[in-house]
This record gives sequence, C-alpha cells and structure tokens, in this order.
Amino acid sequence: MIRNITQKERISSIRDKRFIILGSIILILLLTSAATGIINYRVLAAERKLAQSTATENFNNQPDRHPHRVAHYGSYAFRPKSVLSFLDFGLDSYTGTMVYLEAHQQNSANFSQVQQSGAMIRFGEMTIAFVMQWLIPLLIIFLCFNTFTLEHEEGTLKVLLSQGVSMKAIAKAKLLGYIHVISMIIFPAFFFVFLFVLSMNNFLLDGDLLLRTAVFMLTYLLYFFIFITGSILISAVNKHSRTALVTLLGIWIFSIVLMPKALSNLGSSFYEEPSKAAMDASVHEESKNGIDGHDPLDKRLAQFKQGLLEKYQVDSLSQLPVNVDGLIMALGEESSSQIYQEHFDELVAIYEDQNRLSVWAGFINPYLAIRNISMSMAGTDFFHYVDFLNAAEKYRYALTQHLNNLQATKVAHKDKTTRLSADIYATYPPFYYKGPAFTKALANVAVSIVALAFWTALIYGLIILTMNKKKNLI
Amino acid sequence: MYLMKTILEAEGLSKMYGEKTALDALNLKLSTGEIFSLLGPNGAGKSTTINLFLGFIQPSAGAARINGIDASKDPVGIKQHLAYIPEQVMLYQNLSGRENLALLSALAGYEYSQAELDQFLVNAGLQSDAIHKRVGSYSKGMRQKVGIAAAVAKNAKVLLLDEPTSGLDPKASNEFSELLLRLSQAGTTIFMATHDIFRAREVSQRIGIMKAGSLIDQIEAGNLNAGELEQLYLDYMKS
Amino acid sequence: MKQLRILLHFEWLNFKKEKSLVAFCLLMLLSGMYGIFSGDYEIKKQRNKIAGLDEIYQSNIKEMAEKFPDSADAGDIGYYHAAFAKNHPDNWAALAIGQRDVSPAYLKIRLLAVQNQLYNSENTNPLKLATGSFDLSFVMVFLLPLFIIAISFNLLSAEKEQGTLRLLLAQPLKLATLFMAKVIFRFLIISTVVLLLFAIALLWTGATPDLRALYWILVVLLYATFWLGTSCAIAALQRSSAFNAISLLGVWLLLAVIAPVLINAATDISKPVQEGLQLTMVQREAVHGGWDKPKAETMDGFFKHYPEYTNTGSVEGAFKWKWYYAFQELGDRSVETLYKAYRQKMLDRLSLASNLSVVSPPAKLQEVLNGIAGTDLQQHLDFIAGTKAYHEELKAFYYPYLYQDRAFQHVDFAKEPQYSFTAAPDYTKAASGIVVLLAANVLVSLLAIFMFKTNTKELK
Repeated sequence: MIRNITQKERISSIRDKRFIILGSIILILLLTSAATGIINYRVLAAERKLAQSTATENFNNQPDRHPHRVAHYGSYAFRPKSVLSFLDFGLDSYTGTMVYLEAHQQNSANFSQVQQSGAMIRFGEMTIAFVMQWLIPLLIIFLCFNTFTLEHEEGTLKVLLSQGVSMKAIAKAKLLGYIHVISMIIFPAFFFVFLFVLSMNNFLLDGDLLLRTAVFMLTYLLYFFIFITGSILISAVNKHSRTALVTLLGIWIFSIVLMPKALSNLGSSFYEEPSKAAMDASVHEESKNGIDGHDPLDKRLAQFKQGLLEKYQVDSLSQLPVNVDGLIMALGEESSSQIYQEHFDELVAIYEDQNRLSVWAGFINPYLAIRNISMSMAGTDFFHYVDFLNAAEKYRYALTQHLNNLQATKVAHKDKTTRLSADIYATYPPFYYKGPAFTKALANVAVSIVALAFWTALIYGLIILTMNKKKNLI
Repeated sequence: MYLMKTILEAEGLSKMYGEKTALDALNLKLSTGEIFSLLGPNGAGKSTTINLFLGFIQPSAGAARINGIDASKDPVGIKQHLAYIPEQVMLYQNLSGRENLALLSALAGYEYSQAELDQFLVNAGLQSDAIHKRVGSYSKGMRQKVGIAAAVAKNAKVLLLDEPTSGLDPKASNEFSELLLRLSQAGTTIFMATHDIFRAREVSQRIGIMKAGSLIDQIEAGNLNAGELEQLYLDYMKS
Repeated sequence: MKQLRILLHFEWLNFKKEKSLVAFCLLMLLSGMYGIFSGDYEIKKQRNKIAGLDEIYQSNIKEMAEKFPDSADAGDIGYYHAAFAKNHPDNWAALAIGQRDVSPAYLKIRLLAVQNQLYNSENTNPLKLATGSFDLSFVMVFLLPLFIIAISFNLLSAEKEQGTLRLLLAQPLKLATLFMAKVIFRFLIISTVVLLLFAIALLWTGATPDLRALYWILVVLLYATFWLGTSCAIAALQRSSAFNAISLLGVWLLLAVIAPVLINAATDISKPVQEGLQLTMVQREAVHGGWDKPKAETMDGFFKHYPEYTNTGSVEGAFKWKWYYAFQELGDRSVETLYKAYRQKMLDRLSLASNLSVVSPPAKLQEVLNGIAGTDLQQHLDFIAGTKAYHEELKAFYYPYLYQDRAFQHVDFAKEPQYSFTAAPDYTKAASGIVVLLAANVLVSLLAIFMFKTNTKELK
C-alpha cells in the first residue's frame, strides 16, 4: 500500500509542471553557480599563487642587504584558496587575502573582496552552497506544501483513509515519494560536484578532500530531509493549501533571512571587540612596560646585556662572541610577539563568543547548522581563517628570529652597513600554508552536526507523533 | 394591476464556449410583477442565463435586456435595475450582517440609517440579536436572509434568484415563497432558477423547462399540479 | 467618487478585523524599529571607537615627550608618532550601514610612505559581515516587498474565493473602481508604515531631515508602488490566491535574491581587482629599494618635487632622516599611477554593478539608500583620497622641520593638522535611482493595465 502511494506521489510530482519548471531552474542555477565558483577559484587561486611566488622571488633575488634591513623588508603571506571553496565561498570574500610580514609589527590581513566591492556583494554570492541552502528548500516547499491540504480539499484524503490506510502510512509514503523526487535533482548534481572536486585537484584522490566532500554532501542530504519532512508535516496540520504555503514561506524567510542577522547582531552587542588602534596601543604599551606595567623593556634589556657581560666575562658588548644587537632584537621580538599573540587570541575568543549564539541556535534553526558545517568542510569558515593568520604570524616570527640570528652571528656589533648576499636569505624556506586537517575542521563544527542530527530526528519524530494522533482525519 | 410592460427580455440569447453550446437562442419576455421559474438539470444553462443578465459573461449572439438596457452594452447600468441572490450568499465574514447590508446598499446608491438597515434585515427574517454579530457565525439561511434584505433594499425592478431554496428548511422555504409573492404584488419581476418543482409551481405564473441550453417548453403554472409538473419534467429529461 | 469613498471605508473595516493583516503590519513595524535601533547602535559603536582614538593620540604625544625630552628630531616624530584620519559617520549612516562595517572608520597615519597605510583593515568579525546588517535599509529592501505582497497578493482573488465578488458586482459597480479602491487603500497602509518608520528613524538617530529625507521618502515610496504594481499585474490575471502568492514570491526571489547575486558574480568575473595587491608589492620594492640606491640619486629625485629644500644639508655618511623620508616620498610617487588604476578599477566595478542593477529594483534601492546615507564604497574611496591628501598636509607640516633642520618642540603638536571626514550624500546616484524606479513603475503599471484589460472581459 505504501509503495503504491509512494509511486503515485513520485509520478504526480514529476508530471507536475511546478517540478519541471522549478527543478530545471534549480539545475540551471546549480550549474551556473558551479561555473562561477570554479572561475572564482581559478582566478583567485592563480592570483594568489602568482603573488606569493612573486613575493618569494623578490625575497630570494633582493640586493645584498643587512639582516635587519631584510627583517623590515619582510615578506608576504597570501592566503591560498582551499580546493573546496568553489562550493562555498564562506567567509573568504570577507577576510583579508594578504598579510605583510615584517619585524616589530603585526599587520592586518588586507584586501578582502568585500572591501573592494560595493553594496551588491552583501546580497550574497552565487555558489552551490547558496543554491542548496537558500533555493532548494524553496523548491521543496513549493513541491510539498499542498501534499496533504490538496488531498483534503479535493476529498481524496477521505477516500484513501476509508481504504484502511493510516495517516502515518500516508505520511511515510509521501516522504519516500518526495525523497525520490528531490533525489532526481540532487544526486546528479552531487555526482557532477564530485567530478568537479576531482578535476580541481587534478584527479588526485586526496583523503582529506574526499572526506570533506562526503560530509558536505551527507549533511546537505539531512538538511533537505528536514525540509521535506517539515513541509509534509505543515501540510498535514493545515486545512488550507494557502495557510500551509504561507506558514512554510514564513518559516523560510524567518530562518534563512531574518534570524541569522538578528542573532549575529545580538552576539556582537553582547561582546565588543577592541578597535585595531586600541589593540595595537595596548600591545605597544605592554611591550614597553611589561604586561603588568611595571616591567619596562629597557630595564629588561639592560639586565640582559649585563647578564651577557657577566656570562662571557667581558667588559664591553663588542667583545662578546655574538652581536648583541641581534640578540636584543630577538628578545624584543619575542616579547612583543608573545604579547601580540595573547591579544590576538583574546580577540579571536571575543569573535567566537559573538558567534557562539549563532552556532548553538542551530538547535532551533537547521539553516544555521548547515551553514556552519558547509563552510567548515569547504575550508572557508572563521576557524580556517584564524588558522591561516596564526600560520602567517608563526612564519613571520620564525623568519624575523632567523634574521635576528643572522644579525647576531654574521654581523658585528653596531655594524649597520655590512650587507649579506641574497643567497643567504634565499635558503630560508618560503611561506607555505596547508589548511587544517579534516578531523580538526569536523571537530570544530561538532555542535552544528549534532544540531542537524537532532533536527533530523526531531522532525521525523514530530511527524510520526502528529500522524499517530491524527489516526483518521484532520 | 400594473401596466403589463416587458421588463426582462432575452432575444436570441446565446452563449458558446468553443464548440459547446451553453445557451441556444433563448427567447423570453417577462412583464412587471411576473414570477418565472426555470427548471432544468445541472449544466442546462440556467446559471449561464443569469450570468448573461448580470453582465458577468458576454453573449455569443442575441441580447439580454432589463428595462431596455442591454447587459453586454451597459453591464454597470443594468445593475441599478436588478437585484441578485446567488445560491450561496457569501458575505464578508468579519463584518456584521448590518455592515454587509450597508456596503451593498451604499454601492447601489442607497445610504440608509442604522435603523432602516435593521428594519430590512428583520423584515427578511433575520433575528434581531444576530444583526450586529459577524457573518462568520451565520448559518446558510441567515446569510440568505441578508441577501434578501439587500435585494429588497435595492428597490430593484427585477430579482434574479439562483437556487434560492436549496439548503433551507421547510419553514424558511415557506417564508421565502410568501416573500416572493409579496414582492411580485408590489411590482417586482422575479426570475428564479431552481430544482424545487414544488415551490416553483407554488409561486410562479410561468414555468420554463431547460435542457442542454435550450428552453424546450414553457407552461402556465396554473394548468398543472405539482405531480403533473414533475412527470412532465421527467418525461422531457428522458428523451 | 462616492463609491470609492464607500469602498475605502469598508476596506478599512475589513482590514482592522483581519488578524493576519494586522499582524503583518505589526511585524513590519517591529522589524523596522529593530532595524532602526540596530543600525543606530552599530554607528554609535563606530563613534565610540573613533572617540577612543583621542586618548591613544594623546598618550602617544606624552610618550614622545618622554622618549625625546626637550625637543625632538622631526624624523623620529614622523616614525614613532601617529595621527588618525577619522571617517565620522553622519547620523544618516544608521539608516543604511552599507559598507561602513567592512572598512575601517579611521586610518592610522605616520609620515612614512602613505601607500603602505591606506589599505589597513580594522578588527572585524567576518561572520557578522557575511551575515549582514539588520538596519532600516534591509527592512525596506527585503521585508517591505514581502509585507506588500502579504497584504495585496489576494487583492481580488480573495473576493472571488470568498464568494463576495458576485454580490459586489451585482451592484452597479465597475470592477475597475473596486480594484482601484483596494489598491489605493493598500497604498495608504503601506505609506503610513513607511512614513511612520521613517519618522521614528529620524527621531531615534537624530538624522537631519534635509534634502536627503525627501529623496529617501521618494525612492522608498516608488519602490513600494513598484511592488504594489507588480501585485496588481499578477492579480489582474484573475488566477487563484495560491497562484498569486507563489508568482509574487517568485518575483521577489528573482529580483531580491537571485538577480543581485548574479550581478555580483558578473561584476567579479568581468572586472576582477588585483590592483591592490600589485600596488602594495610594487610600492614595497620601491621604498626598500631606496635603501640601496645612491643617496644623491634619491635626493635629486626628491628635490625635483621640493626644490625649496635643495639647500638642505648633506645626507652622506651616517643615517639621516632627511634621506629616509625622501625615498619614502619617492616610493609613493613611483606607484601613483598604480594607485589611480586601483581606484579607477574599483570605480569601474561600482559603475558596472550600478548599471546592471537596473534589472533589480531591490539592488538599486540598496545602492541609493547607501548613497544617501553616505556609506557605500564610493564614499570610502573618497575618505581614502582625503586621507592621502591629509598625508600631504602632514608632510607640509613636518618637512620644514626636517629639511630646514628645525628641532621639533612638543608644543608644536598643537599645530599638527588634523583630518576629519564625513561622507557627502550621493545625490546623483539617488536621482538616477529614482529615474530607474520610476521607469520600473511605469513598466509594471502598463503591464497591470494590459493584463486587466485582457483578463476582465468575463467574470471567471
């Protein structure tokens, strides 16, 4: 009996003009967004790769310079695009792409897409994630909203029930039917996505990539399931098609358009981040006077110099076997970098606090859950961005200390004019960044995954419960 | 006795929907104060005829006139001279019976006081405590009474009725027949499409039988009793 | 007309009693008020951040006094002291945050090469940026059409489906009159909501009700009538309420969600902007190259632009600030063309997006509202240009100290130029937006009239 009803749902949906029109539109949009995503990836990835190699080339071929000069000349870290970012741009357009790495200073990541665009970019970006998070639920709503109400209005529901089928069975059958129908669009789309992923990675099978893609697809399937079940449920509890539709659309608008904004607004009003100027000023202050304000740097440096003189049993700094200038630079760098890192970690913690509301709200709004998971798997969320920033800072620090070491060992005390050949500098490995592993990315969105699983169980449980209660008729 | 003037006229009135004939050259004349009932099965063309007189649809041929005004040429003006009670009187649910009546009369050009409106409703048989309640709480019979009140308040020369007694209990149906007779004596011409052979015979002067778009017979109501009328109708339908 | 008056009166009676409609109005008002509050709060936060800069500035001046007791070398001051170029938000900015949340509201400027300082970012939460602001402009661009659709999708179809249309039209009433009454009524409701929210916004944010207010009202009302007109065009097809609702929501989806996204993709693909990265890297090479160039070459290049300092003392030998700032200056000049190209590219992207947005009234409205509030990228570019000019002023202030070998006295800080920028409203954009929306209105009205004429011969 259920199989027959399922079959009927499938056939009537497929023949339904709505399905054909909407389904075609969705497929076109998926293809378009895949195309724009891939173009965007290729252009930006190439741009950054070129920029990074240019920076490395400039570094390796620089004229002979004093190590401290090179420390100021510095280098650049360009954030590479993750392969899967073509699926979900995530926060990529809203985050800086380039960090200037120099001594004594931590610079901001500059030149984000959004800073170079007008209001249009704030409307959203045409990606596969966009189509799947925003538009496919609409397709589902338009297909399913009157699945029960139409039968009720046309009287066919009474006929079915009088044949001895329970409401629960009808609901299950409809669910299966619509799952089949939606799969007709989704699975081919996912197949192509898989092909695209492989081609972006030059057809190399990469475990990390495959796992991310798999989780990406699986969680979206759960998301669609939630919407299908929810739409059928709303249809079952409403007498009229129009109220079911208005309800579902209202839910869509509220969950996808309104609530995320309201929550991110609220989150940032509870926790306020310092301005960069204020943060830099604090870092500067603490570097100079110590974290507690009573440990001035110059005093520490004086003590350090004194300690060295005693250690090596010499009277003047020039008699030391190493160039104390380099050592002092290293000490200063270590101190200020440590302080900066603390402030940076605090800043990241504030952002995470601000975002936490939206993350946990995944338990009331599955869109928030899938949005998080999708970005994480694509490597374009805040976690991945911070990972890059930390990697850039780590490289900067290591490079600067390496140069300070060169100054300490290869240049004499107070010598500001000796230049070392570029070959020495070229031996230092260039900035290379590989994003966090799949397991880390997954762990970071554990809450959202649980929320999505919770929603899947909840909505299915709700519909079974509601259908049990109804037994016979609305 | 009033002057026997032709008030309602159908002249070769036809309506085609593509190949299908909904109404085939109807010729009919009704005079002042006459009550005419149109009997016929569903889809015979009764509602089509009424819709043509209301100007809701355009004739394929011929004309529908009330008081000399052609419905297709002046669909708005003709409404000044007719009142219409559909089978299902649908009103604004959230407004009271009185407010609904006020709206309909005002649109017809009559701005009555509250007392006058209430009087119309009471005369139509509505309970006085229901007058100010929202129509959403009314039964079908109560809604129909508001419809009657609106028709009466309009002082129209012609009253078009579509299945007026369907769904009414015998008492209400009886009251309705008495109302029709009163209106007819006051000079209102009444055109009634109905299935109710008994009531048709009771109030009408003439009865028409319609089948598949054609008026196949017209009978003086006085010539037959209800049973004979029913037999005649069934015979026509059989052939 | 008398009938119009009667119908309007009864529309109001019905409207008052329809719970869902009243709920929609309340929802719209509440969202609007939240948007006003939220936008204002955001701007106040920016103001606080800007206000906090004074303390940082002053404590830096104190630090200079401690580090360089008595007088200082202007070169040291130029290196260790920073001034702040401030981008003050006008009260109007609260009505449309635009791009103000994305770019910094201030820039820290030292005497060094400016091209290294103009593009620094502020601490921002990228997730919050990506989610977008919930300000009044969001409510007007996205939610107002939904509100209009909600109260007008079943303009005529409700009467038909309720069955009341038959009785109404059995009165000597033209369908067109009925239709007009319903449209006028809804327009009155909509404008009341819009004007009420606008009044609240002016009161809450303190925005000045000047010419901007006129533009704002005009453009938002034209936007509203566009959507009302679209509802009419669909209603004139005489289809069911469900059909109308789905069609109108489809139109909303197309115009407010899909079209802008496509326009953005098209802009990105046809005008990608890599000029910023190039500019930065080229400039760095130029500046650092200055360390390696013969000092005489640098100074000659410098004196070409500042012949008044030709007689400044020699820079040969030990490090001299004069020489350092000379090659910083030359570094800036060497990328002047790239800077102009970068700026031009961004302007080109903006104008491409602007031109493409004629197909999307929501995108156009957002653009106009941002322009009126002074919060679009255009205005940020003006701030950057202004900051660059400010840097020139700072150079004009400090160069005499440097190149005329004058000691810098700490009291001289009082004479240091300051820079405060407030974006000017973009009336040109507002005017062109009005033209576009007017055209959209005309189009939709003609469509509605055409649909009406061809679909109302018979009462279906």
